[in-house]
Amino acid sequence: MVKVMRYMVVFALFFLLISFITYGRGHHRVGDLDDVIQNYPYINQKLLESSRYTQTDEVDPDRMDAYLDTYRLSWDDDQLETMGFLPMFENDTLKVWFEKDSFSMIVHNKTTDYFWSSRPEFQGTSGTQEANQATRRLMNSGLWVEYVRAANVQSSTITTASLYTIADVQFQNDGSITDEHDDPIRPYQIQEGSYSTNRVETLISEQTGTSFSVDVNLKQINVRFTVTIALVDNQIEVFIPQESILETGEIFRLIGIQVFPYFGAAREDKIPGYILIPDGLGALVRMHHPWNTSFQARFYGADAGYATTTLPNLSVPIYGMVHQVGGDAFYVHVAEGAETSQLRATFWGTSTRYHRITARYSVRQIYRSVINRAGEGREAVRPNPTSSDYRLIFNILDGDQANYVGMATDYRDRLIGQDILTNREKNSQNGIPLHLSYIMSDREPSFIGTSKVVMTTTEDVMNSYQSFREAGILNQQTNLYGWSNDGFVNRAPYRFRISGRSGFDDMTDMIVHDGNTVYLHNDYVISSELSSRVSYNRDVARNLSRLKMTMTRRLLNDRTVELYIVKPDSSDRLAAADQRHLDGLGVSGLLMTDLGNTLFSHYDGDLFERSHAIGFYQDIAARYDHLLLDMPNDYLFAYIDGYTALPITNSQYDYYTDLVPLLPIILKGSVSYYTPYLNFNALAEDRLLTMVDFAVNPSYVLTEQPTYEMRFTMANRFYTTTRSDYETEIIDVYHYLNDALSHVMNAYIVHREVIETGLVAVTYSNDVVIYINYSYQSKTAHGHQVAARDYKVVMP
Amino acid sequence: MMKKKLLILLLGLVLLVSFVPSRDTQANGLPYNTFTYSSAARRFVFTQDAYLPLSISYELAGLRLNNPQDLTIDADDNIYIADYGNSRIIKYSLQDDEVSIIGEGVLNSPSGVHVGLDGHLYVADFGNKTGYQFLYDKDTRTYSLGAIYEKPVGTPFFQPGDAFDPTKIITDRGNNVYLLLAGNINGMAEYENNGNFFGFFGGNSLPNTWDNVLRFILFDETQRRNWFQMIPKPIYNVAVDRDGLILTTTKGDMGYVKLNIANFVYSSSIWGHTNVEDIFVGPYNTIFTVSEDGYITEYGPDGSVLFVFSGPDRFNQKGLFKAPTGIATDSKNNIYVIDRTTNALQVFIPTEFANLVHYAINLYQDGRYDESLEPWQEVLKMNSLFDLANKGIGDAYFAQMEYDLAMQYYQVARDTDGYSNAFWEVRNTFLLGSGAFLVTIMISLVVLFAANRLTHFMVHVKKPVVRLKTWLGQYKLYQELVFPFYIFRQPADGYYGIKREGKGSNLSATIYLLLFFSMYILFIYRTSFLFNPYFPSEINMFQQIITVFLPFFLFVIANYLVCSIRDGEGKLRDVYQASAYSLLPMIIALPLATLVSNGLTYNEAFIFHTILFVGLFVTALYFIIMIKEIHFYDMKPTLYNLFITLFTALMILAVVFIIYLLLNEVVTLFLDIIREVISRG
Repeated sequence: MVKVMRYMVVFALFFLLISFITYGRGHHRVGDLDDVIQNYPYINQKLLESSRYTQTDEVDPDRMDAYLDTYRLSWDDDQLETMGFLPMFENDTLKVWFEKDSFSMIVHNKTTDYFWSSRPEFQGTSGTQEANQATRRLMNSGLWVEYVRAANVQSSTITTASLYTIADVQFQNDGSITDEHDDPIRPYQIQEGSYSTNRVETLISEQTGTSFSVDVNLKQINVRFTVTIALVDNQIEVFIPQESILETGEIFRLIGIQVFPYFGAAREDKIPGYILIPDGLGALVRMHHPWNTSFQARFYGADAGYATTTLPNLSVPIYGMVHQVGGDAFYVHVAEGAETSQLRATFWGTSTRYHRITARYSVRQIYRSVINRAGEGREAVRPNPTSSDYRLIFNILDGDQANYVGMATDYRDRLIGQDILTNREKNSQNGIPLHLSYIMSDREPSFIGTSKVVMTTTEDVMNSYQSFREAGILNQQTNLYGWSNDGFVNRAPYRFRISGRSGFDDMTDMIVHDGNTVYLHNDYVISSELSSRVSYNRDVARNLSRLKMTMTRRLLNDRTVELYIVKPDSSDRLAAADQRHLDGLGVSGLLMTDLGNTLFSHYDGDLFERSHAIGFYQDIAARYDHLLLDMPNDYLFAYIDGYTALPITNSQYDYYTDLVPLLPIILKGSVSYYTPYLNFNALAEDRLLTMVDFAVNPSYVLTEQPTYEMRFTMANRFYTTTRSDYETEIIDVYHYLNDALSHVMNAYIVHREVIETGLVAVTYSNDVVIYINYSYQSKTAHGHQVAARDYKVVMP
Repeated sequence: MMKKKLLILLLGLVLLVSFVPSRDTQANGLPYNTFTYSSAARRFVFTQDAYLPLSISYELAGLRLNNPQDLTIDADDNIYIADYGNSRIIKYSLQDDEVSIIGEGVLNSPSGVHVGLDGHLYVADFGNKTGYQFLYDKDTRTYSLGAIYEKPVGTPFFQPGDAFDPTKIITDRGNNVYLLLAGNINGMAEYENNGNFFGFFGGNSLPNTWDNVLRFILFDETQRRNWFQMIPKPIYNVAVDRDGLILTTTKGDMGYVKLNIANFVYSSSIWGHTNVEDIFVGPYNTIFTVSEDGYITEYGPDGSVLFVFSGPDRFNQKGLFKAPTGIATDSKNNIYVIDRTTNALQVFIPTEFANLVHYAINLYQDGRYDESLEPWQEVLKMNSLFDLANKGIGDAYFAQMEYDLAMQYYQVARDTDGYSNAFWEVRNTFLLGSGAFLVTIMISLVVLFAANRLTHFMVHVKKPVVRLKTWLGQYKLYQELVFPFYIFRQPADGYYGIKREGKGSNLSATIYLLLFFSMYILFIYRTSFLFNPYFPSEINMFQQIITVFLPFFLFVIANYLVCSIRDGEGKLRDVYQASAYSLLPMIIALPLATLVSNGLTYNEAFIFHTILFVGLFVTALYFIIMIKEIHFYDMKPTLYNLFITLFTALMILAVVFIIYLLLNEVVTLFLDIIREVISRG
């Protein structure tokens, strides 16, 4: 026995030694790299607490108590009547009060007994006078107009006036609430008779049990229009028909209208909650800090026709605000006129004590009338107002719905109800889809003209397709760049000149036969001087200054390329011309880069607004059985089979506090959406966790030849594409994602919760819950252990 | 020249960064793109994002900054900020969000802060015109005032009236203290640690440009200073690297220069912004700069550009800057930058890609080329156009004596020196290996030569050639085409033959001209890249035609015009033909140089240059003789004539240009009138 023990000890020591030699040394080297790669824990923690992630809804208990005790808005009927409010209509859950002179609305949510006001509430509670008369006139009136003098149009002289401003209202007192004067209605009281009906008049007409119209007559500036407010399906609709706008005078021109600009305004940090801005993927601004700034952006991005600069990409026309997560919230859907509207938010700071957000209806836009080549000229407005109506739908949410997920799911259900979203996720073959783009060729400059650089052949695509199938990736979506002899970058729209047509047919046949899809890349909206199909004189659109819309894009050497913005009708003509070729090709459809996210007004003998372009773009989109669009705006959601290049974040303003998956919540269960090419991912596994969190499908761009070969083509901005470099990674990444996301195919996101910093739970409509742990420690969530930097799928 | 080109590129880069975000590569949700300079493509290229904005803090543990001017980080990752407007130094730890204040009551307007290797804190105070040392007590974790660095008195370096405006401060390995004085052209004032001044260090010198040299010869010092402002630029900011070497930046000069202890330039950045605001050396000796407009650049230890990112902030976005004043990194390469307009501290963290590059650089710097191979390959996988990786892999293979492979990577990176060395090895091996073969050839030749002496068999070999010559000789074109060789031997007679005997023709001259063009194209396409600055894909036919034919025809026409009024005898066709034939030496030299270049390394570069020089020299000589003979001049008028010809050619160009401008104006005028009519109507 002792002998055996001795042998065992000797063997044990031997193994220890061996493992020390082998692993000990090996580990040292890896440790070397780890040492470089592992950042400090506190840095990692800080990153998780940054606005690149959704934060917890935790609120300081004192602040919450103060809110519940003091700042949860409540009015009784007497007070409302004293202030001049009349009950207009009600249903089981909502009661709407309206005061016509100031155009103020109060909505009573009976479920939670919460009051939403179009005026900033708790004014004067600091005990001092808080604002001057001009500001109080604006704050206490729910209808603002902006106008300029027709004889002297200048953006610097735009006047913003509320009904109170025009009516020259005088307030009874300085609006402060003190121990002596503690009547909460004090700030709103105006001097009797000071509202001048000679200057402005509002009249309630056509009142029914669920709606009423207000005829607004701004006599002072000779402008009239009608606002209809209605209760439809438990939502409050505000509607201004464009034809109701009448301008009888010659002196003033109406520029914009804002209805209820202070609706739900939150005073300082008194209201625990946040504002939702549909910027990029989705952004929140929590209202606990004086951000001292404001936000302005047009829905659907900048309008090249007016040379406006807008950074954020607001692709869905909604915005909202939460007063206490799980308590109360509202969100607004700009159902009509979003293309001419501007989203404006102002945050608590030195100039205001309130956080607020609103959508401004742009009736006209100021543009530069250019008279010479130096670009000199003057500012001007078009004589006719916009042709778009304006419809805001206010949705009051409470309880479980009172958060950004509630807003997104409510909006999603509305789109599903309108058949804009239907179930067309690409979920064949029991796996999530993998989007693979192949760069077939591009052109590089050569001694005479350009020469073609072939990066991938149809045979290569077939081989690649097959090898990924063999690795278990059955559900592939193939997209081809540079399939035409015209080349690729900056050369769309391409002519249908495919080299090796027979190989092409074999490839499409094979892929389509498997139930998969093949797309060709093309674009009819943004072209360049290099495209042979677009003519400068005939096709390039003019902006309102009547100048051709071209952009000089500097390449990274000292060369430039002139990009063209194509007239919508020319885009349509080009697309129509290609239809015949496309039908004969056997491909599934097209992938377009710019159609979905470019929208502009243009001049072509007359002003054509953005809505005009939307019509053409929808026509183009409707042509194809299958269509993929990069970052499409909501007016094209009905036509797409896939949403490519889903934004990773938002504009990263310094006051954004959270990144939220607004678009994924809207799209999940209806349309498959894909991340921008993972080739360029610098965030390592963090990005994959985000993709599991937001249920995003993977995508890669590949070439068979080494990327180096196309270094002199304009496709060189795809600086890493070689398939052999990516094959293993693609297979690993796909299976990592598929192991999670295949359980929630066709399911909707119903709930998303940040349990603690870096730990998220997403619940789907099929009751599957996916936990994502972004942190570097393993965590327990709802009784489930989730490993560090990993996810866990919990089946129902 | 190189730098000037880069400057133009920079302009493009700046425009591009600010106005055209590229969606394809913006795959990490950042407000900026990241670039690297590729010497392979000789331009900036996109690269994987290297740094990620982590946070922007307007308050540090409750304290607000006011016009912060400088920032540094010690070995324990504490951040020190020169809080200029609040007259204090803030020491802040991001880890525990703790802050302490140093120098309150002593400092007035601190604009520079530095932590020495001795652990003490050094502060340059612009307001008090003094540098301070604050001694750190490790046990109590407190600071007490130590030495003071003031304007020295009683030294020839400073007159009582001279300005003394310290803005930055650093210490070297020996704990000597350097005060950077604003506007001082002599460099930094250098002190012993105890406060004794002992001289200047690190001043810029005047660049040796042609005009400077000329002025230096023609004028005395006062004149140069007063009339031409010929004084060196004062250095603007300074940093010290891990080896104790000092780096300086100068407004108006690109990037930085690294000085050795003898005060000579040791290395400098290959490219850089000309408005660098601050500079810092990171833990792996990579160098970080931030420019006035917010671009952060990271350089490799050798001065190559690794990453350029961030930029000006127009919309209050995280990760961009309004007016950055200080940059520093901690031991994990996290970047900290302060901004004096927003009074905010921003932190960037490296991505996986940056970490990989740092890791590879680290190994590479250590000379562990072998080990760096793998990380470099990984880097290359993530960006095929990342030059440093290609160079790194080349070096790794070179170290492994895999010269063929090394050559491939050097060529991709266009690392000429590396390629030349690797090629030398490859060629050497080849020569050694084929020694026997070469010797056999030589011996056979000798044997054949001897055999020919005996049997004259070469006559039979030559026969068909001679017969061919006779047969071709009946064609005039052939005679014309071989005539330049005759000119070559007998210039006077030859040119006379063109002028008087009609021995040339326009057709054959055109053939010669086209032949020259072809040889020129061959030269710029096929010359080994060691001697060739061209990229095949960037050679443009139109441009090359202009380069070759325009000067030629300008010369011919100008020469004819000048000579016709200056008693020259030549007609236009004579000048044309003679000029074209005179290109013969170049037609021979260009392909020869091209051929030879492919077998040469830098060690034998002189062969290549000699061939070209001889070709050029002989051509020039024949042009002069040509003018002399065609127009029947003496030597003096010939040279005189040559100068007038060149001048006339320039004038022709100028006139054409002016006419173009005027026509353009007329067209514009009409367009504007039409526009105005439409606008008013």
